[in-house]
Amino acid sequence: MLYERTEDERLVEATVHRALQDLAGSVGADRTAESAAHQVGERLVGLGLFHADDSEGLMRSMRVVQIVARESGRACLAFPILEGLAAETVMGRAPRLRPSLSDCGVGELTISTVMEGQAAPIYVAGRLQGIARVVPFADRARRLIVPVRQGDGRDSSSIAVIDMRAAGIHIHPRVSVESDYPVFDVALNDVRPLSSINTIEDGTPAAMLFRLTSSLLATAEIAGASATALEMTRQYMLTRTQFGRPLGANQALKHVLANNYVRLETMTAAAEYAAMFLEADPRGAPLAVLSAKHYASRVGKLLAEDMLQLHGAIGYTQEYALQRFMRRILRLCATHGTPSTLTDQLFGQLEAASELH
Amino acid sequence: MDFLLTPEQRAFRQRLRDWLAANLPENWRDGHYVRELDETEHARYQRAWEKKLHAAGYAGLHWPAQYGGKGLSIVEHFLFGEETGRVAAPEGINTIGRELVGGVLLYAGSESQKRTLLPRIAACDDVWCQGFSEPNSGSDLASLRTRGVEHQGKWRINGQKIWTSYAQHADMCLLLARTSDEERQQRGLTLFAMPMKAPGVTRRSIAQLNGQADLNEVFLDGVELGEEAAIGPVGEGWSVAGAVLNIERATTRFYRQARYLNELRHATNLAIGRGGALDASMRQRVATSLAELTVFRALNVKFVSRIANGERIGPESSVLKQIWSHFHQNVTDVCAELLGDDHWLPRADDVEASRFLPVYLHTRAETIFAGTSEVQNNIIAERLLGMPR
Repeated sequence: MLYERTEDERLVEATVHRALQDLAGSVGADRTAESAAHQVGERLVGLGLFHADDSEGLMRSMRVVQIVARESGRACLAFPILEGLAAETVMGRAPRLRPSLSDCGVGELTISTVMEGQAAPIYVAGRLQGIARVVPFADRARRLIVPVRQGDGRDSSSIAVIDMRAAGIHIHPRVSVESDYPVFDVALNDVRPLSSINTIEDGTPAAMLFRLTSSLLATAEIAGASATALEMTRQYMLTRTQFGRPLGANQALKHVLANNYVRLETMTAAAEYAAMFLEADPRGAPLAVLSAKHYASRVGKLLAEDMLQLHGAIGYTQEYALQRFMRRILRLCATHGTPSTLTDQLFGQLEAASELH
Repeated sequence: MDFLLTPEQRAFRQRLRDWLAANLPENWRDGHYVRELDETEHARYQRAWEKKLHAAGYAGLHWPAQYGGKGLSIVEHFLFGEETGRVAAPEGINTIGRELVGGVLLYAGSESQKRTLLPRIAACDDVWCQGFSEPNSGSDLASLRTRGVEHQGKWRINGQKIWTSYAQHADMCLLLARTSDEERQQRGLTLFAMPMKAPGVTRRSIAQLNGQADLNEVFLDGVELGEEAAIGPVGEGWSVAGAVLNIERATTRFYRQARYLNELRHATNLAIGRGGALDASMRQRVATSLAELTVFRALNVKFVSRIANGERIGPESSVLKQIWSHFHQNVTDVCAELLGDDHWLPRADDVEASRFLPVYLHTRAETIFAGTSEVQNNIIAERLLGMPR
């Protein structure tokens, strides 16, 4: 039943974990160099993680993709794995979009943004107008996937694939809480997209699936980054001694660690559960996916803050690795669906909630 | 959730859903009585409900058939919990029997004990209470001092227990007593099946913060038990209880998540009906609770899956206890904010709003009983995270 891990899932988890941890070690301090990003991209493609046309492959499974996102959080590389995965996962279910990627080279970035709570670009007469906000690595991406509105519609109902070298595109940098993860606003002025779709192959609205997938993967990545932050803290509490004993011998401190272990286990289970729903029943999945992201956005931030507190001053330095994971968690908690932006959608699920299970 | 179930499990769930729709007891609506009941009537009502469930084939679902069960799996047990919680059905009076003693007997009981005691639990012929905590041994349960001395093939029990739920209605008690002195306190404890009407057993009710008196002190003055009353190996009661408690923490009262959702929906709809649309802040509070209850379900499903796949549940069950107790407190906080005066000071004839204050008061005990939140955190920190004791 249910959570029984398949052999494929175990294999993916172990392989991706090893590959990303190796990369994190070899890339080292120079995490945003072009060569580092290229290394990461090459390795991920080599693992089969970015094959949009692999219709029978492992990356068709939301459960597997969720595992990859979690491992990506555990490694915390300066590379838009989540955004690329979200784009590839949706396009893998939309054969009409695949030719748009056919000339993407190995290591060339496909990125995406969900436009959470903000007005998506408008698609009128075959052209896009507006701003795609909070787009990671836009300065070096080849393709951008973005939800778009049709005509004067209020909500985004389609997704579009954009060639980042097309005329009419201007990028504007944003300041990010995660300073080595560059984020931009992309202004679109009369841009012709490579393609767009309203629904994927089984009739599910494309924009809905894309948003849910992004939220799911963000949840999984928060859980992964949180797992590393907690393990780092656990080790610190066992080895750091003060007043003649390890920090972890103090009940006040170990209880903070325990509370956050509960949060971590719960958000990990929530991501796994949401992945199962999204795979088996996308239209029935919003409650599971949005709840998972809502919860992770709230408690991920609290976990990051507590892990810093448990470290004391050393945790507050750039040199100590905790701050990378904290920044990653904070950025992901603030994007791809937050307690504020998800409130109305979740509230709307209340009546149906007892019937959805 | 249909995709998670087999066709047989889906059919089971639908049959149960239909049966509940047709058989919820009279004078019961939205998780509570619609008229006042005194304590004796309450006990009779709850026992009758459990007998009705048994007669309909919904007792002992995952127990072996030869012991009065239905031979189904933990999944059906989980579905039963969810469906009864969804409609906030009565909780019954024999939770200790069904969900703790049953597990203990299946884990460590003799064949004779299983064949004698389990069918009576399933039929609610015997209501059980739990004699573990003592006035000086709560969180530090291993320090308990109720003593069992063996003499001429019988056990003589002396001591006192406290916080014994439903002792005034119970037929039997799962008693933990010290039967030898060992270097480690946890050794030398033995579990017994003790009849509550045995000579030497007296009790006194404890008036509680919520106005009820379900809890009791139980006094044991030279109570004599036959040697067949010991459950599991003599002196190994702690490890037996501990192993079962881990499982029970993960599988007891599966109705919780669905029942809390019932409470949240009820309070929300009541508030909207009485005061109009909710403001943004209140909608956010409700949405937060809904998210918490959904991820609680995810955790339930994960634990059920592990058990269904043959895994043993250990101290990680403490994670579940932390989640359900704190999330329920969060739900009742939201219900209180939704209903305002109608929550804290309901009119005497306001049957619907009157549901919520007793629930709130009960939740204040939920982070205390079955191991306080602080004890759970110690378990998590020390046994799962390796922190020093």
